[in-house]
Amino acid sequence: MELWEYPGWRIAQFVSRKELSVEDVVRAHLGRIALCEPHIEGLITLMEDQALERAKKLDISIQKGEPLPSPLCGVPVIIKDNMCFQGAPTTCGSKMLENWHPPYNASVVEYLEDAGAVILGKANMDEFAMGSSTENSAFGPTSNPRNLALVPGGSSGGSAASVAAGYCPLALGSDTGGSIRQPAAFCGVHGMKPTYGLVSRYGLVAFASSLDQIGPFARDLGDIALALDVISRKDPRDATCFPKKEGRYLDALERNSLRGLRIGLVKEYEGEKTDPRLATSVIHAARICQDAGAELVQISLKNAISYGLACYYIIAPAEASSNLARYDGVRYGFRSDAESLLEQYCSTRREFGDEVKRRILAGTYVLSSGYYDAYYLTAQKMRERIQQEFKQAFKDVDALLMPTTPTLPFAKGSVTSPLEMYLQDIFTLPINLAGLPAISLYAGMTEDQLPLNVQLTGPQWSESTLLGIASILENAFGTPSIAKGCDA
Amino acid sequence: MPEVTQKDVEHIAQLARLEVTPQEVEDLTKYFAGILFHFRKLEEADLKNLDPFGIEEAEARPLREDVLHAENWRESILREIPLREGDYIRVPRIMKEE
Repeated sequence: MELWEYPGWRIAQFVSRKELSVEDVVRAHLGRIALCEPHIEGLITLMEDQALERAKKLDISIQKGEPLPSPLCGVPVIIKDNMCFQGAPTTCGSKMLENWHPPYNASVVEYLEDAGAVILGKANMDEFAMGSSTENSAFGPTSNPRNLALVPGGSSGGSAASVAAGYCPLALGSDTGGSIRQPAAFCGVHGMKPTYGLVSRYGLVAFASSLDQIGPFARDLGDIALALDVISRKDPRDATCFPKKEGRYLDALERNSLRGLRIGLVKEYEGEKTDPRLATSVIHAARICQDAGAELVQISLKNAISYGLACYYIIAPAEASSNLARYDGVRYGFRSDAESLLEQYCSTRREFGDEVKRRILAGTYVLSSGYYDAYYLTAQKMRERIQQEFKQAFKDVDALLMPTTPTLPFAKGSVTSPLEMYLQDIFTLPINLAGLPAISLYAGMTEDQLPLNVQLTGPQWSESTLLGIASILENAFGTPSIAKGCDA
Repeated sequence: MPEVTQKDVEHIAQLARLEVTPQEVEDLTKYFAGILFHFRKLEEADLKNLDPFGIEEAEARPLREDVLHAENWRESILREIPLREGDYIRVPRIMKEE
C-alpha cells in the first residue's frame, strides 16, 4: 500500500508513533499530485515549498519529543480556494481575486494547523462557489478522477477530486446549496455539510451568508469525523458560529446497531426526477438500515421539493448580490482603469464570469424597489415553511434518507443551460435553507464504474446520529477506493 | 410577476454596477424568463401565518463583547490596494468638472 492510500487517522497514528516522518508523508502525496494533476487540474495553487517546510518543522519538533499536535499530526489537507490562507492567493476561482493575498488565515485553517495538518494546496472551484460542475472557474475546469471526460461536480469540485485521486486523505469545501455533497457524490467520496453554525466561516469568502457552511471531504468516515471534531469550535470572530455538540464525533462511529432509530424515506424524491440507479441505491441503503434494526417510515416533504429551488434561487442570489458588491476595484482585487469612479466600478465588475453576473443581476432584481415583497419576502416565507416542514418530519423520524443528486456525473460541456444546472441541487438545497446537517455517502459503483451516492440529513446538531448511521452504511457499501485512471 | 424586458436588464445591470454587452443583455433576458417561470410557482403556495424572518434561533446566539483586538495587518491590507499613493487609495474623479 502506498502512503497516499492511507486514511488520515492512520497517517496521524504512524507519525505520532514515529513510524513515519511527516516529510515522507508529504512527499508521497506531492508525488501523487505531480502524477495526476496534469490530467485532473484540481488545484489552483500548489504550496509545495510551504508544505515541505512545515513538514520538516513538525518532524524536528517530533524528534525533540515536544508535545505532538493532534489528532491530524502530519495529515495532508487541501482546502477550497475560497478559504483564506496566508502566503498564497485566495482566488475564489475568479479573475477578480486572482492576485489577492489575504492578510489572515481562516479560522478553519488555524484549527487544522493546530491539529497538526499540513496544507498542500488550494482547490479549484466554480467562481465564487456558484455552479455544480467546476466549469465556471476562471482558471479552467477540473476533470473527474473517476472518468476524465466527466465533471467532478461543484462548486467544491477541486476538493472532491483531490480526495478521490489520492492527493490528500482529507479536504475542506463549502456548501451553500450542495457544493460539498454533490461533488462528493460525483467523485465517489464522502462529503459532509454540518449544521449552520457548527463551523466558523471567518476567513471564508462570503457567497450567501445565511446558507454558507464549511465541511470535510474524505474517503474514510473516520477522517470525516476527525475533521469535524477539529473544525467545530466556537469562534467569537463569526457571530453565527455557536456549535452545540456532545462528545467526539469519532465516537459516534462506534455504532453497531440502529435499533430504536426511525429513518424517513422521502417519497417526493422518488420517481422520474431521479436516475433509477440512484433510486435503487436509496432502497439498498434503506434495507441496510432496516437490517441493522432501524424502523423505516415514509415522509412527505412537499414544500421542500416543489418550492425549494425557487426559494433558493431568490435568497442565495439576493445575498450574493450584496456580498459581491465589495468587488469594486478600489481596496483590493482586480481593478480596471477608467475616467470616472462609476465607470471604474462597472468596467471592473465586467470581469466576473457569466454565472456570477447572472446571480448578481437576479439578486439585484429580487431586492429592487417594487419587487422586494413579491420575491424576496415571499421566498423568506417559503424558507420558514420549509423549515417547519423539516421540523415536523423530525418529530416522527431521527434522520431522512434520500439521494444526494438526481443524476450520475455528466460529461464536461454537456449541461449548457443554467437552469438545468440548478436542478443538480434540488435534493441538497432545501437542507441549506433549513440550516440542517447532511452527509453524502459513497454507495458503491454502477456497472460502468460511476459512483453512486446516498444522502442522510437530520435535525440541527444531529451530526453524531448521522455519522452513526453512515458508519453502518459504510460497513455495507465499503470505503471508496482511490481513482487510478491517470496512473498508467 | 411581470416579465423582465431587455430594458429592465439594462436597468438592473446599472443598479448592480455591472457593464453588460448587447449580447449579454439578450442572454440575460432569456435567463430571467427561465427563472421567473420557477419563481411564479411560489404564487400558488400557502404562505399564510409565516414570519418571513423567523429568527428565534438567531436570537439565542450571544453577541460577542465589543472589544478592540490589535491585529498587525495594516501593511498587508494596504499592499492589496490596486492603485495606491503612500497611505492613500487613488480613485478616478467622482464629480465631473464644470
